[in-house]
Amino acid sequence: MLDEKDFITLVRENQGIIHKICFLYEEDREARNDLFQDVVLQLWKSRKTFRGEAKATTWMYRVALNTAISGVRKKSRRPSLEYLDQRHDNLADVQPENREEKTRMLYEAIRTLAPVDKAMIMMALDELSYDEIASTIGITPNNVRVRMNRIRERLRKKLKTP
Amino acid sequence: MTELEELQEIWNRPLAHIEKGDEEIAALLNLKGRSLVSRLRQSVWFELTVTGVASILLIAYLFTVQSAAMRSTIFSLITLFLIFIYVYTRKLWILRHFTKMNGSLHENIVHVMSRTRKYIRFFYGSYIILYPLFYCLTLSFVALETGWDYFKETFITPGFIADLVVFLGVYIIVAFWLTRWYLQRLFGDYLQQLNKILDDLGKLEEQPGHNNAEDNL
Repeated sequence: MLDEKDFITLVRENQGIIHKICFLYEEDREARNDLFQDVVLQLWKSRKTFRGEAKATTWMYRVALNTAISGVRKKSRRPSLEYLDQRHDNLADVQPENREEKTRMLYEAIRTLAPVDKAMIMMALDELSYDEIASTIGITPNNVRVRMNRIRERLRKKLKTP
Repeated sequence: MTELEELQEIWNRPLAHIEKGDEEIAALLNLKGRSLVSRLRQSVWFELTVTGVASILLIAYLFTVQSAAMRSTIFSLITLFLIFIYVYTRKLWILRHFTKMNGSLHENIVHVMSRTRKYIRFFYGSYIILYPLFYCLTLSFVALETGWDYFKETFITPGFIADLVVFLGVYIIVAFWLTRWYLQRLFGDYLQQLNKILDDLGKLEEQPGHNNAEDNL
């Protein structure tokens, strides 16, 4: 089982997964902070189920998505894109603006998807295999493939719409 | 660069400005959960502790009281508190393994929905017993306070009993309406959302599969 030091290193190195899930499943900063805290606590409680030979990202996705999708939290009243606004401000000096705009558009497009679709596209973008996505969601790899076509089509339309 | 590679390149850009350091992550491990279930569990623990302490104090006090009426009142309160201790312990048991984090999303949602329904059923069930019990206890306190003979003479008349029954009916209806409203507010939307996700997953399993090697996002 992971000790505290190894656990913290694992979370620090893979925290991008948690931040992305928080951003895509919660709409305001307070709710995202709460979700981040809940995910880290759930990972900590579930650490005995993490086997070193398995991919850390698959395990983290499983626990984080279960926490985000099936957890009951206070719902925010208004949607906010402050996360990306902040990102834009901070990276504006070092990266061309159109890249930031593309990032914003991608996140916005994914946010409009249904909860399961969001989960599937996130894992696909993080290069998890269809088998890993299927076992995390609880469906067959073939169904993942079929659904992914539809999600890709939806995303393509959203990203092309001005 | 293909469409997929471009999206992955955008997706994998660093999030340096919000990344947390070791100390911040370690600090999170000492905090309490923020989900509704965690908060419910914390509040039930608090209620259980307060009720437990109050019961112990009352039991200690019971041995110092001489008046028979007072002893009966305290004894009734202790019985009521013990019933509450059972209710809180059972609630904690249901809330303990509320999620199934190691299972797939589908398994976890089925499990969470079953636990939520179990919690709601228990909540209702316990109040079906507790509300009439509160009512009877209140009456018995009145009887003890006024003296049984006086109570029998003054209150046990056909008219008064009819009033008590009507009041009991109104009391139970209002209490259940409030309980229902509270549970609906707490879990209503949540169960609907989970049902919707489960339907979505169910449709996924029903759809005819097809193999398309070029679809590889």
